[in-house]
Amino acid sequence: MAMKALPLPTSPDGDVTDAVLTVTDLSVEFQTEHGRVRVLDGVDLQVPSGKTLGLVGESGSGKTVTSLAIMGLLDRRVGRISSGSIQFEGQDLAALDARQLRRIQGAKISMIFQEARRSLDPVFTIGDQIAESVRIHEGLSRREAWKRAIEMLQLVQIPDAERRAREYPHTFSGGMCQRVMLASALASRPSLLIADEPTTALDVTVQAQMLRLLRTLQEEMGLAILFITHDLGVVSEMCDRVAVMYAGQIVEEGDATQVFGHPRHPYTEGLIQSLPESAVARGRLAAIPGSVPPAHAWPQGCHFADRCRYAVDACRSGPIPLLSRDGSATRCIRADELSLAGVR
Amino acid sequence: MTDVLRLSGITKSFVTGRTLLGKPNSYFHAVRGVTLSVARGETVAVVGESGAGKSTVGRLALRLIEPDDGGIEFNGSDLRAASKEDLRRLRGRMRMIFQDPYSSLDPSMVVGDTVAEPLLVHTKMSAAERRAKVLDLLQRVGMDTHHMDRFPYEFSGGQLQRIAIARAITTDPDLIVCDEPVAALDMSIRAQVVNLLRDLQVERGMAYLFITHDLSLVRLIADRVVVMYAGQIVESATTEQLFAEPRHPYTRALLAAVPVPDPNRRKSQTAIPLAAVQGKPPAKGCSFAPRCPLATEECTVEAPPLAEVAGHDVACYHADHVPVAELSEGAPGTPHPRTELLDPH
Repeated sequence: MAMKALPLPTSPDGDVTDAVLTVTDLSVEFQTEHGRVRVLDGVDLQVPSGKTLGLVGESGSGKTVTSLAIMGLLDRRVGRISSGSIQFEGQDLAALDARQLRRIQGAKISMIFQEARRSLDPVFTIGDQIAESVRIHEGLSRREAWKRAIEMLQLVQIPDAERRAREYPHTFSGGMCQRVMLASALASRPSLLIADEPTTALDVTVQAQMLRLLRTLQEEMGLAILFITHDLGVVSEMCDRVAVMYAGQIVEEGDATQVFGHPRHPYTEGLIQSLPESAVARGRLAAIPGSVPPAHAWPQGCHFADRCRYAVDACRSGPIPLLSRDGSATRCIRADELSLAGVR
Repeated sequence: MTDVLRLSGITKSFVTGRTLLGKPNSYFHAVRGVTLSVARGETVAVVGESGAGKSTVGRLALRLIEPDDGGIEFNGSDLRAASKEDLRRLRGRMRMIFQDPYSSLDPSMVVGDTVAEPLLVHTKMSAAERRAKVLDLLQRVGMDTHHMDRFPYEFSGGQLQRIAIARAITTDPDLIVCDEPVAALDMSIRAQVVNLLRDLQVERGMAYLFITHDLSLVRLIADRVVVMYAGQIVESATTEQLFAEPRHPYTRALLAAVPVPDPNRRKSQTAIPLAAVQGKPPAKGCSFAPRCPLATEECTVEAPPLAEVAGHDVACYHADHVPVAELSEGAPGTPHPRTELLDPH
């Protein structure tokens, strides 16, 4: 059985593309009432340059902790990186101190969140908030920064940008707030954008517009995106590659078309089959039994074994490595013998 | 088929502003003249985006809030004329399940008592009978009997929603209003709860008024679908009809915007971009007209009434004579063909 680190993503013609961000064996521990608990267990990720990697998982799977660790935003009182490296443009972010990190975060790596309105300051105008981030990260003058702010609002297709820049967040709808946050995130021309459930709170028609905008800007700016979501529909809409997380681990990684069409981990299969789209009209959904175990109760062997209909004794005997083959990877020892169902 | 619930021309506004003297001077018209019925054992889905008035319709249906105008009939009796005593009696036959079980269940009550409470109000069962029934119900929704004496904080969201469902079915209701019952649940848990709701309906024959924004779920569970926009019904049809051939431009846009979990069928590049919501809907004419790619002069003068078009009830002047394939993007009045819109996926 071939065992090696996660392969570099390959382009359709088979060439190895370069990754903007490479996370290797990242583990994070939280101090909890159950003592020191590992909430991220050896996560490997690569975000290819100019592409979108979707990070999919349920609540508690560790997808947000992964993004916070990359951004250096883990609350140091409760969480710390216990092992692993986060390579970004030749530097290991996990090894930098707070002052060094600040030069990268927000400038070279920016982030947008689900709650756009909450991330905007209600007492400053939209233009001021975007201009402020540009002045901090690029040292532009007040006038230049304001000009840039308006350019950014135009870039994210906010109509009447010059007037809107002088307005306050409460006059913006949820979808417009999300655009403002995106404008602010992109103002310093980052090479990596981390988008954590950016469309989850939006209505479906507004979500469609936001996704289209993200794709357009990605092409124009050559932006790499780490797209975190629980919504498989949004993932297939947005992402070139997909990493599926379950209970603190990446359980499958690969090309989006391949992961959806031919999943190689039973959890991925379970997620796809539990979608209403996979069921026949008026039929039952193929639910995954049980629920995600809490971090302090993760089993020794495969974290998914207790809910997996394909589990055998060997699955529970010890940690299961992420096995890679042909540009994709799975954390299932039976991947080769199982024939799992994807989207129809 | 007899109707469990009948809403006719129901209307509700909320006061959003008052003068210095406390006299209301601005209103939000949450529900404007909604007429719908739910037959015994049927599932009617109410869909629409946030602010469309779906949840208000659910609350009005059970008279949890008072309508300004219109009629509510439950099992043939006029709910608006019902006295407090009648209402209390009827409430055993109509129940509600909310989106967030963390806030809909009493945190200071063990779940056994939470589930038993409706029995205390609506039946004369003895304590022992109640206990037996609660055990039975908890097992039916997939919980263990020892969960009875635990508090809500000890459970996950999926388990709490099961408990909320157990509480809703204790009195064998005829109608359950489900307000986004699975929206807050994780993917793998969502399917379990949807299956439970479905199985219970098959077993007990109750009707659901299912309020949701999740159109892929609607296709699976609903017999009929009511699409709301800005407080009004814009289209209503059987689930098959609605998904096969949506008639209202808003329904088409909504269906076209749902992302499909299949990277080979991406549509973010093809779906119609609607114009952004511009504050309040217009005072006259069709509420959707400012965002509608098909809007004409006529639409801004008078609101189109709900009328039957090919088996759908549609409130649109263009529903019958505009070929579905010609629905377009871009400025009003400049249509160009976009056949992708026909595909509900």
